[in-house]
Amino acid sequence: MSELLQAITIGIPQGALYGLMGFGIAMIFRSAGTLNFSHGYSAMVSVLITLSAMQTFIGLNILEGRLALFAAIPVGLIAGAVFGVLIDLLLMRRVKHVSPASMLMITLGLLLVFEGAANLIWSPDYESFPRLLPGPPFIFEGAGLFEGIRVVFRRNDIAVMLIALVISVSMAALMKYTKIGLAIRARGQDPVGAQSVGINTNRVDSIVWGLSITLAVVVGILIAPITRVHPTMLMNTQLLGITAAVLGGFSSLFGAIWGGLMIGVLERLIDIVPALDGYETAIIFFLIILILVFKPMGLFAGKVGRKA
Amino acid sequence: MKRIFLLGSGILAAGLIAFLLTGGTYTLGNLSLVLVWAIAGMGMVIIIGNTGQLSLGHAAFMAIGAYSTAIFTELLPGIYGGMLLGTLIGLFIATVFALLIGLPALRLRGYYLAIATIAFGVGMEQAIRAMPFPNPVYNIPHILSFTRPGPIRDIATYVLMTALFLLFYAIGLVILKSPFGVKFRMIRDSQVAARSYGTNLAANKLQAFIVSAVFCALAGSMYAVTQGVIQPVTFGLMAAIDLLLIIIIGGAILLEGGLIGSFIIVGLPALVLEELVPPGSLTLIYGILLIIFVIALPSGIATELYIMWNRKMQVPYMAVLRFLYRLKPVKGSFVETIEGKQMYYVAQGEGPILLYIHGNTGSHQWFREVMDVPGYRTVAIDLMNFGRSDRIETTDDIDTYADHVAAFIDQLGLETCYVAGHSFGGAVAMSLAIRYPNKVRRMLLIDSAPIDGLPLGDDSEARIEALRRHYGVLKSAIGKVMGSRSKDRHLHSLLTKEALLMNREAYFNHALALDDFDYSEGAASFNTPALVIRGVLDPLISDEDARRTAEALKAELQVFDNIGHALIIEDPEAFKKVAVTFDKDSTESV
Repeated sequence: MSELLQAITIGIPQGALYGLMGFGIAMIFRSAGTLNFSHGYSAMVSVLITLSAMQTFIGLNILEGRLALFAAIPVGLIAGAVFGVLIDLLLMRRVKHVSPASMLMITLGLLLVFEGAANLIWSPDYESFPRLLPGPPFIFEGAGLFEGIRVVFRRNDIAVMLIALVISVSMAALMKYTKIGLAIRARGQDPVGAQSVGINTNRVDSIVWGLSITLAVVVGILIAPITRVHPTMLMNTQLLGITAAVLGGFSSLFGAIWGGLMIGVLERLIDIVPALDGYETAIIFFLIILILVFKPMGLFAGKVGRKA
Repeated sequence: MKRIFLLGSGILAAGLIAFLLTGGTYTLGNLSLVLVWAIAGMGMVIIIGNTGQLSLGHAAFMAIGAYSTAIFTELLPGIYGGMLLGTLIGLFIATVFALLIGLPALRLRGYYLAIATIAFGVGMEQAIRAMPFPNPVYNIPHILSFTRPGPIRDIATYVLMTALFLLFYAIGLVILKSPFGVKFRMIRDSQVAARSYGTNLAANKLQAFIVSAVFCALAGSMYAVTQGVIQPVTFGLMAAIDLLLIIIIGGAILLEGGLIGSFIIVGLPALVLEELVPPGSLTLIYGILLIIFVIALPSGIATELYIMWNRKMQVPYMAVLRFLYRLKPVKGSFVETIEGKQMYYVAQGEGPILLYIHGNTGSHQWFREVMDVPGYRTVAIDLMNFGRSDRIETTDDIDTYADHVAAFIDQLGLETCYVAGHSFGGAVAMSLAIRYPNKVRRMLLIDSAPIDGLPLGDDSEARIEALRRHYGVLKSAIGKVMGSRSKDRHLHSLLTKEALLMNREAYFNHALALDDFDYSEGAASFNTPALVIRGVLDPLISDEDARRTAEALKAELQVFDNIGHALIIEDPEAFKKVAVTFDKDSTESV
């Protein structure tokens, strides 16, 4: 019982990160029309930039410790946004009307470019990254009915969950109540229709790219203390993010977040079974093929529908 | 066959050059690796470039091939059969997985297929990582372990890889040229259209998927064999991207793209780049290359080369062929005709002269098999502007050509002779016989241009320009005219080379000249005995044309079954019989 609860408590924050990743990927898929295989990699470079900024702040004695981290985070987020906008302006705009396959291949090329740049400018080594909320974990000891149940909450996980929640709510609000959100949704549903009512779809695409990659940078910064910082730090997160988007169905953005949570918990649950130890990623990926085939619109297609 | 031979000798030559340049066999190991990835690349060419199914999971099939080979080699140590067994089992497992994955996944389109296959690829890598092997990093003995590591092993491996590559290249070529390949490409171009033609989409996609999986599994197996060490990461996401890079840069349509791409992606880093660029920057370079190719050269190097070869290189290529062909010694002699121009001819036998006049893009060689007609001295000329005869200014007038032939007859010191004209040469013969009636004793027209000219088709200018600018087009046109004899490769290529010798300015003008002339009026006073013959299968001269000509010339018409445009090469014996009896008949009648 403890194991199960523990799996869920570790799985949920992890899953929230996959979900946020998937959310960005689904957003690009919906509006810009491509599957972005460089999503995690552009975020990885931004995390490296964040790390370098932090080290610079500390090295120059401008800021110290946690302050340096909090000052460096905006730098990373801005870098992510700039990457997103540049990818759209310089590359995607050229091939948008050629073929979807060429957009996909360009994102694969970008994957290589980002990884190569990270190897070249920084290093292939693993570097540690500070937690947002350090400190000892909270331990919940069950009493009475829950006698013997012991669950550990890591502090950083709580920060992760809070941030994920805040972002999800604010993205939902952005999508639902602002003009930009409306434009993004319109462009995703019907590009020609969106253009005919005066929406600049090119600008919407740039915004979508910038926004999604910024989100991915948030994920990167949150996950960095666990994976540590290196050129392939977000590879699995990105693949699982895509998986989350598939689970949620690309048609619904928030489905991706639910999908991410499910994957995060599932990953931990598989871990409990000793025989399956180590196979969790493989199992999840084989599951994905089944879902793609039998429920290509995602698990929540019927229930959530076209929320965004 | 020729392509395979050329490619094979090219690969072996590359190995030899590498050996000579470096003075060691180390680079051969790298080149073997290039061939291994090229086999996988050909698999990708089949599934992505020709079937249009964007699969990113084929690295997993390589992993299957590699691990099967490794496991069985380890299980049966010291037995060469173990490795072979492992390879075969690897191919079998890959087929089973291709069925299992392909059956559901190929229902998906575009991105969804890409996601499903990449999930398969990464999932397979993770599964192998987690499997309870002693160690997922496998160290396996080398396939050619009967020799110690060293030059002999490197060379043997290289030769073996070349043979395997060529074998799979041939298999790929056969598949792509077969009806299967056509169906694959139909699916790529339009699933709706393919289905409306009755293609079984699911079955054909699956076939392409399995074939490509087998290619990749063999490549994986050979990877294990040549490298001796395998680890899961070799076949991970990066390998999937490498496979894609190979065909994007190499070219996804032609099988050669796999080899070119593999050389650039796998070969260059190992051979040169590694020392030239800072470590780790290769990924960056290839990323940039991939983006540049997708934006600027989406069809890849092999396809671009193919296009360039056909668009730009054909004229120089034909010039080179022409130059080389001219170097061959000739046996005939030259005679001065008009204004010092030389006309080339060959002759054989004794007796009255039978003058052969060849057709358009022809030469005396068209008569090479009918030179020994009993009772005649046969003389085959190259008309002016053709073959080895001199070039003249006028290219669009049959009469000018006939004038030169008349001068030729005078120069030989002949009063009169028998004339046989084929096709275009028939028009020249008619011009000669009508305008110089006493020079021609009897005339034989073989599938000749009709008496009132051969009208120019609507699109002939473009078609004729294509003949002038493309060796392959010229060759196939010659083949058509050769009828059943086009199967004789040697003769086909000889006659095509002879066609190259024709004045390049004359291609279209000859068609104009054929369109232009009309000897119907001249034929009114024509009383030279003549015979018109036509092959039933002739694609150029219709039955109606031949009848009209025979009627105007008051000549007999003889029709040959199962013969096309060129009786003289399709059935030389029949022609010789005609040539002999034609004379007898007419002497009797005179």
